[in-house]
Amino acid sequence: MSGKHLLPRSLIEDMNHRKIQEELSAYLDNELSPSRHKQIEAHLRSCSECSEMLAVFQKNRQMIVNIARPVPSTLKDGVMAKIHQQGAQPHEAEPTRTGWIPDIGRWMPDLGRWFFRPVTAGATGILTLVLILGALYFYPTAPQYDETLDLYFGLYTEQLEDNPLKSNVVKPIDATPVDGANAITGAVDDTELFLDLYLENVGD
Amino acid sequence: MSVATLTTTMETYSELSKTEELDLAQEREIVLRCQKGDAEAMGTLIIQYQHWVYNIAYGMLGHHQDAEDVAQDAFLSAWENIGKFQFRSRFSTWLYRIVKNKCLNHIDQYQRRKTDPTEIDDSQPWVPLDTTTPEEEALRTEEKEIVHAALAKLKTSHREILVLRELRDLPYEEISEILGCTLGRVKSRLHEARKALKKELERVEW
Repeated sequence: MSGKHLLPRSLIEDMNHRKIQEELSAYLDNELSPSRHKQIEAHLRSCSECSEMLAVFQKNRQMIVNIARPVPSTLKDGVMAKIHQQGAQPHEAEPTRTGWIPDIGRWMPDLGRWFFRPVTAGATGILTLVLILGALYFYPTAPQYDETLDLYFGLYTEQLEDNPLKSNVVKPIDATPVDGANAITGAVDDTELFLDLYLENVGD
Repeated sequence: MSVATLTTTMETYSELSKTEELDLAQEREIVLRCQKGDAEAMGTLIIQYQHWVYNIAYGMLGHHQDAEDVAQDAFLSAWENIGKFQFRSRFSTWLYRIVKNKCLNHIDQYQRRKTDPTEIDDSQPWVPLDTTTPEEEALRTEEKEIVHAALAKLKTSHREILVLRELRDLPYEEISEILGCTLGRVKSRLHEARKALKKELERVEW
């Protein structure tokens, strides 16, 4: 614990201490922002626990560095011998791909040069123009939108009329107690009739 | 640390620093030559990276012969697949990723072999400490042995990140590319790994 604190560390200070402890590795590796680095530096001056932990990390790092060994002289020769003896050949370099764009270059290596020829460029330009004008000419007009809406509402109304159980969805439900029993009235069409029959027979 | 250990460390450092690092343009040119099938260019890349490839494997596996085998395998694999390298990352990042995968495969194969009682190989370094004889235990006084023993006890994910960071001093960004995880994950995993190593070393040393 940080021995230099005269008063018990407050909750906020304790949280700060724990957070800093989690960042000691990044501090050691110089992977923090300059402002955060300074904050931790200031904390280390007053916190022996964090300072000790940092010192251990540094010592252990050096111990790992020390396990490095000179490379055996046979390593390179061994690889080169395998390359020559087995006749191992590298795979051909693959053309660079850009994300999801289809790799046309793989099948048509001269595509780039072909594309930038004047004749090709002119033909491509005309084709693009024709496509744009065609799209504008055949673009759907506004009435089609109204017709679609009319069709939709027509079908919806028909469905409600054909299915009396669904008619409640669009009608308000009025819950009123009748003869001491909670009954739902105000439903429409067949549903209302159904409820009336129910109350007559079962109500009391 | 004794004077002898320090001298050895300094010798190791001087040997490691003998090879001048290629700049990115030079490296790119050599990789392009490899992609065209120039085996001599591959030789240049091996000289450039053999110290790190071998020592990363050694740190991961803890056995010099296994480390050499894995390093050779990794270089051969790099040569065979160099056509697939598209310069989206540094060549070293791509190479270290191959080394890491080869090491993991090796560890996996060893662990599978270990389940077969007829094939347990005592020369392997990752046999748990409990199985060693008192004589062997007494020999584990050297610092390197202690570090290896502690590393052996760590989870593979902790060991690989420690070796990449401490031994090769790779930046977090490159480690995240090699391990295929986010920068935040590298940061937290490295901290967990250091805490785990601290705990293991305290246990081994006492």
